[in-house]
Amino acid sequence: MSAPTYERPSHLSDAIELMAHQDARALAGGTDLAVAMRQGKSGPGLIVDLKGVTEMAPRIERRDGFVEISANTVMTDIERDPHVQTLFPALVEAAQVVGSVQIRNRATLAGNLANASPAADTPPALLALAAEVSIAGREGTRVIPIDTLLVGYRATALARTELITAVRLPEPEGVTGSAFLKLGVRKAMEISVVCVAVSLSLGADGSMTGAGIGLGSVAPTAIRPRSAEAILVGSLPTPDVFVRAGIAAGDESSPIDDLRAGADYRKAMVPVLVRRALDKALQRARAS
Amino acid sequence: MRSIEVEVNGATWELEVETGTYLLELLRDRLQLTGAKVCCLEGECGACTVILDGKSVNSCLILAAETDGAAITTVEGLGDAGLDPLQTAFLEKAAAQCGYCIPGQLMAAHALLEANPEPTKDEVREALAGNLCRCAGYEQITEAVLAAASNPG
Repeated sequence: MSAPTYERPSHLSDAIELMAHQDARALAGGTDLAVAMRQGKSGPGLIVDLKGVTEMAPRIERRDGFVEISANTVMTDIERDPHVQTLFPALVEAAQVVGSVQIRNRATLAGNLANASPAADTPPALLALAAEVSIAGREGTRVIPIDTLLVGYRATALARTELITAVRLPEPEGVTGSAFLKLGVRKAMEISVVCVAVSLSLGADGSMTGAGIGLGSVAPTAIRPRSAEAILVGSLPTPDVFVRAGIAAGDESSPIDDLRAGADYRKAMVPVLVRRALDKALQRARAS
Repeated sequence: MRSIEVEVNGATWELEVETGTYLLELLRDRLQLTGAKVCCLEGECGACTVILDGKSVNSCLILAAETDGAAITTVEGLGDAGLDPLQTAFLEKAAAQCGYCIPGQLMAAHALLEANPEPTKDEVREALAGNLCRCAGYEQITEAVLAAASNPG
């Protein structure tokens, strides 16, 4: 395999033009792409290193009711950001379990989405938090929700020349809480058997006015079990309601057998983890 | 080929690199800095850990071309004269058995102590979670990092 060409554009428009080349691959942290290249699974003709793109420079800022995380922001920046810690604990908990510190010092949130692994840690958190991605391409820019971005196994709705420029999370209003739980056989450096993220909002009467659930490692892509969310919204946050929502989430999952776990075990663990995550999110909401 | 300028252990290098060359191979094969080790080559084991612009990274997953303008510290750059207090602590706690993982352990620990000079045991374990030791000398390695933190030389 011949060595790829390497370009490091400074501007988004140049990066988009470079992506139009055949066999171009975008490079951010490289923690997925470099492994794929090392193993011969990816042999791009052109590597477009996005780290020099000024519009994507690492940045987390509150704007227009959103917290916007630019494309080149790495996991360790997200873990430590005070706004994210306060507003989106589920995202902090997900970012904290991505690989090792060495990986998290390079891996970007946008890259975790674009890579679209069904076992990725942060997409379920972003689904539960109703995050959106800002996308730029030859035809212009657009903003789409995460569940529209993730269309299948390692597949996204991004066109070939399109790049994720930022991830943005709507700032929660009122009494809210979120949580992320990961089931694996080790505490660190682990690919999930199942991972679950939830968020909920409580109204003045104590009932849930909003709920989000994201599931990882139990379908071809991270999924948002809407039937489970529907059980929560409008109800009081009782143990019985959480159990029913968990069962509904399990019913929406479609896991496979692989070396990490069997499909039956995964499916059985979804209700357990959803319930536990909801308990944790509720505690946080009440403490907020 | 691509021209890069990179600072390694305080020395500035101007180099022509193949675009398919990784930082790990650049360090070992071109600069003869063989402290960073070749092992899993997929970011799992941490044996290739170096510090890039103040952060611990897996040098096996970074293209040499990406490091243009960067400052890198390898295990050879630890310690101003002689051993760094971390290295002394590793010796005193018998933290090295076969030794293959130790340069990576040292660099991950060094990055931790630079950012957090007084870590808890849990923080040390978390910071070194990406550094595997096949001799399983984790307890001694953790003790050594804590000892270096309490006695920074």
